[in-house]
Amino acid sequence: MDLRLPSKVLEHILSFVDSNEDRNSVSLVCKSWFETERRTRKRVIVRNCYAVTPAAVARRFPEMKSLTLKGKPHFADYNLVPDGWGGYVWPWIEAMAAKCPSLEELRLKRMVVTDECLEKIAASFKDFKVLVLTSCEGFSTDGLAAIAVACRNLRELELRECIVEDIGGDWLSYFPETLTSLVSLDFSCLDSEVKLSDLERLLSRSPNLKSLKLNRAVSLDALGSLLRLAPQLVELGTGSFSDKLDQEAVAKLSQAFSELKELKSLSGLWDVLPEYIPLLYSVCPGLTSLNLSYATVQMSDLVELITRCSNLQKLWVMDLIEDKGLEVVASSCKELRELRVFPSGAGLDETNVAMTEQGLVYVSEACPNLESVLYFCVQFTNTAMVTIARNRPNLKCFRLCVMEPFAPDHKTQKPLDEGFKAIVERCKDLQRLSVSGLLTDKAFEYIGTHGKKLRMLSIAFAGDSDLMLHHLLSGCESLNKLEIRDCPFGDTALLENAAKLKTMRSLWMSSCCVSFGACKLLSQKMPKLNVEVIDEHPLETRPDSSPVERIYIYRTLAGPRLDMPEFVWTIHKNPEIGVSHLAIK
Amino acid sequence: MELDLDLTLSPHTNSSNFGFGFDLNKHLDTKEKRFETMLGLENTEEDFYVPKPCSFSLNGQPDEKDEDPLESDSSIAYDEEENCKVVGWPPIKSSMKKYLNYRHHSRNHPYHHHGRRINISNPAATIERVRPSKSSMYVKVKMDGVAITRKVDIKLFDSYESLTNSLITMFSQYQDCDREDTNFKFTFQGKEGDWLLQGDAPWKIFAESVHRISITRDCPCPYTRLLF
Repeated sequence: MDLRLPSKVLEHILSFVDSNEDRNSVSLVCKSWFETERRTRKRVIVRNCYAVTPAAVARRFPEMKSLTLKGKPHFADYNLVPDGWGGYVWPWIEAMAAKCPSLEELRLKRMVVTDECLEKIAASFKDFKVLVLTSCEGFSTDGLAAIAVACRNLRELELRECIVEDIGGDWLSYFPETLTSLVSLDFSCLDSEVKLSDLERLLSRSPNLKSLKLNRAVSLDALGSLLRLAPQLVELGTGSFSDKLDQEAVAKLSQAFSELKELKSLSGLWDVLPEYIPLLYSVCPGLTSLNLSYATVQMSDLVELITRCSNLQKLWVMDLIEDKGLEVVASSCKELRELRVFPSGAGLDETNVAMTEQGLVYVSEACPNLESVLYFCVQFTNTAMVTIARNRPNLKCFRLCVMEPFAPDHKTQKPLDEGFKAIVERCKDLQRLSVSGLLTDKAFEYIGTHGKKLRMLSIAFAGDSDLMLHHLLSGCESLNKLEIRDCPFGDTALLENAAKLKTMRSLWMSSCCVSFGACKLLSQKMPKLNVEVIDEHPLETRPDSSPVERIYIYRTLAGPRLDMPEFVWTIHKNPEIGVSHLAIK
Repeated sequence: MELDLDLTLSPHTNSSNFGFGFDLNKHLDTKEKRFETMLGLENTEEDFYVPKPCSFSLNGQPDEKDEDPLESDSSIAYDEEENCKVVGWPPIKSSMKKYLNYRHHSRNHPYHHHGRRINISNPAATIERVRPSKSSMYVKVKMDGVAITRKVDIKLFDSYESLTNSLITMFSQYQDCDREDTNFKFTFQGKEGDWLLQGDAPWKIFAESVHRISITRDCPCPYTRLLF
């Protein structure tokens, strides 16, 4: 009796399996399940573009409709990865154009995208619908024009914090009159002005437009007419909020805002003047997401806005909000899930610091759904962290950036070990953690012991010795991404825990004490890893004991990459190099 | 030695570039104390934290040369023109940094600012109705004998003289050379690698096309003085 499920039946069942994690499990069951799964997978996500070759991915998933790729390591966001390191999307587009011409969606993060790439996308994928580029670079507004003119069914074009060579605002005029399918447009990172009339015409023929994020060059005056053309918006990113408007214009703008009945998300607000804050009052009750990271107004103005946002789930704001303002957040925004507080630069030198650890304590006390925190603060205390952990054991993401490196608990002058201990001990579902301030060995011992669900960990200016890296690599079972800078971690822990690196996506270490010899040894021991030494000084003549500037280690099926610049070294460049005897304790 | 990082600080340690130039002196103090303790020097303060002894050097030997022990450990790279700022710290994305820089510079004299803070209590007064400056254009500057390449925002200057003076001031802080004695020579390189002469093109055009600057100096070094 043939007990196998007919493939048609299996296909039908799999059409209900959406999550890629589940699909990955399905593909491990047996060969026929692997085959059926791969032929039916529509959404492919490759979280390290060098972990696998484009050809292999294209071959495996011929019916791919959506591809998500991530390139550079996270610390590239903070300029720690030199220009030219890699992350080129071109080979992927080439491969997909050849094998998967029905590709509709491309989402890229931290990759180098050139105008040629954009032109090739426009030319190769007839039904292209979605292009989302996050923290990408390498292209100009000419490339955008190519996408605009050719993609007749374009639904989403989003440029999130990209570095674009801005040749001018003409690209917007390339959207054909026949394009009526736009759902989302985000050009907030561009500098130059687009023609208002082009934008107005585009909005008039886009009845499905739900998300619009303008750049700073769009004036407040223009905003009014745009909003009147798109009252159905669910997400709005305004342009500059600072022109001088006359009474009539203000009244009209206020009216336009009050027509936005569906608005859930508000951002932009560059240079917002306090007198215009009331314009936003009418949309506040409906907001679930508010991004005030560019709104440099004082606490009392911020508070006026926030008291009216009782349904807020996500708040990004500057430290100008101060402790008092966060107290208001705590009492007004009971649905809050995510809080990010960014530095304005105003607080670092003041003796009377208006935003301290107390602000976060208030929010942790009063917001039961708070699960994600990013908090920049000058200093912190252990007591505060213990309180926060006790209040919010449901935290999933805790990123604390004490801006003063090596800053101890400012009340007791002790290291912040106990505070972080409380966080990892109590928050059993913690998946992402960033530590800062004065930290000793103990802190990492605690993290290794308790951080069992921790997937991503970021460390800077911390620790005393190699033992701490050992605690992390041997203790954190779910560790997937580890990034470290300026810590005295060295060879021993790395080499002793080499096997662990195969279970992780990547490890980044910069300005640490890892020697060239250890890198060579690790490369030889672990052929399934790419051990990249990124160092702007030549390595060939280096003694084995000399420390390297940066290493980036990741597991890969693709072998050594073919696009390494001069300053990136892997053992494949000099396979004959021997490793001199290292005294490893 | 090329890789020597001179950790003496600029006079601007207490001022901040919109607050982010953290005081390296403060952090060195802490590390210095930890290092002293590590070396077994007496420390009678009971509640002062005493770290476990650890080894900074790779082979367990004390540094052969009589270097500042902190130097061998420190590989902090410096960037930015005014202060000893650490690359990528605090960790905020470049789009936000760019915006904060713009807000900071729009209310301060381009180079000789002393880190005036945003006046929180009266933002209307501090928000100047300045036309948003064009995005900064950072140009790499390499000085002879200095391992770290610096970057300056060319848009902050309005003449060759202001640029060269500022660059000389910036590098004089780190080198032993007497500014008066030294003969600085500037070479400017354009985007296509072509060499531009100082004063050849009007400033505006020069500012658009300069890509790299290199400085050589003819400095009567204290050691060479001894030879003659």
